Amino acid sequence: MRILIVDDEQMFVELFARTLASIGYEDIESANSGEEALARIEAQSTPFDCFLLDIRMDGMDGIELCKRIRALPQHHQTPIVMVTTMTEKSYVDSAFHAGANDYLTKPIDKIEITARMGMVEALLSERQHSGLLVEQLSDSEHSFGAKVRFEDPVALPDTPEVVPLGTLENYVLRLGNLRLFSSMAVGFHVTNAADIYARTGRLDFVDILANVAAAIGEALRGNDYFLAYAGSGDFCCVMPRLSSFDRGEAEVLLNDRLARIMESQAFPDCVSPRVRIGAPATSGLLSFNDPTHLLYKAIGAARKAADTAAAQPQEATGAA
Amino acid sequence: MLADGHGTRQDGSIDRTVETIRRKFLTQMEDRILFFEAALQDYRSTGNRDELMARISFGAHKIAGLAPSLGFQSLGQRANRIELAAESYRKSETADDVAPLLNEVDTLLDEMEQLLD
Repeated sequence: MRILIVDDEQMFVELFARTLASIGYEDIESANSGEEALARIEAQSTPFDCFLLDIRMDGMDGIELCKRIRALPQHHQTPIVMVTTMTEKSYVDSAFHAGANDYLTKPIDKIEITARMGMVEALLSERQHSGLLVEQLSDSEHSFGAKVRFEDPVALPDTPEVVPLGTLENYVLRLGNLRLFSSMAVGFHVTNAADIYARTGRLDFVDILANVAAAIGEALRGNDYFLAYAGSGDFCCVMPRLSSFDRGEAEVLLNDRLARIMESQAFPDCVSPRVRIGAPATSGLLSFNDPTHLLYKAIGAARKAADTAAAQPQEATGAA
Repeated sequence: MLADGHGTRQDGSIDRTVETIRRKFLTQMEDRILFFEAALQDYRSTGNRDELMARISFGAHKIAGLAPSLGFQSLGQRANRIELAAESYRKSETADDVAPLLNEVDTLLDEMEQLLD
């Protein structure tokens, strides 16, 4: 794995590189500023596999650098880990909004680094499995389609509003239950996802999920949120607890938007996806649950809402 | 020192690296002290609080990120508190009293000087 460390404190770079080497990551380059990092990235014939960025640097800071790296086509999905002393929620939010996949707090700890690099490996593996969709579209449907399973939290094409599920999990883990108290998770369940998966080609299924993501994004417009696809037709988002989010209104809006998107596109043998939104899930201030529990609680609520709606087939679309 | 959960063959090499960086960190300590003293001196002559807070925050940030990894936990924690406080002063729209922060900076400088002895 080729890694680029960016930090304006050279002694920290040396220490970090040595620690990484001790756990088997030896192909490491470094830059002491955002500007130098971009120049180095541009000069590479083989792209880096992972970036480890300090947030606070002279000149271009790590948040801006993260955005610039994400804007490069070859690095849309490359794992980026922010490495910083800044632990406030505003910094964590800024980093994930800029496209970071994880957030590591200084001082560095070998056990922690090992765990985070494990996450990076998992992201790279996920990207290999399904993430390079744009490139794979040129492959035959058969060769790629066979690899997409219904339950996979696949990367969706052209959906900047969607982060990988692993990144959303990292986000809530970095916040912890105490800071997560000011957030809520909302689940979205595509009630006929299995039917669509069975009827369509796998690439169409992924494209339809991307349409669902776009419609959810429109329904959440005006809110500060992180959205991820969790597989099996489930989406989950995290947003501030005090958001001006009206579940019923959002559900009508997104299904209406989705129907219009689907009308404008020709998917053979396909029914339009229908989405149910679950009741928002919140975390107790002193909860002992793993913070990621909140995400799955929200997805469970969306599935429950779908089951309830299915038991009342005459009911019009819209949350109770 | 670095937390170490894996008994790899390279741990001896890491310890040597840490020791080398630790020595370099101590060698540069005087420059770091002078950085803070220059910032305080300029503040006394100009009264520019924003400039002072920016410089204190930056200097403390450099220490907070590195010192604990080199075994200077107390120094790193104090620097971290100072960085956060300086950032809070920078964002505050009211003219909060800076004396408590300056006292904390004095304590940090004392701690840094003791490490030089």
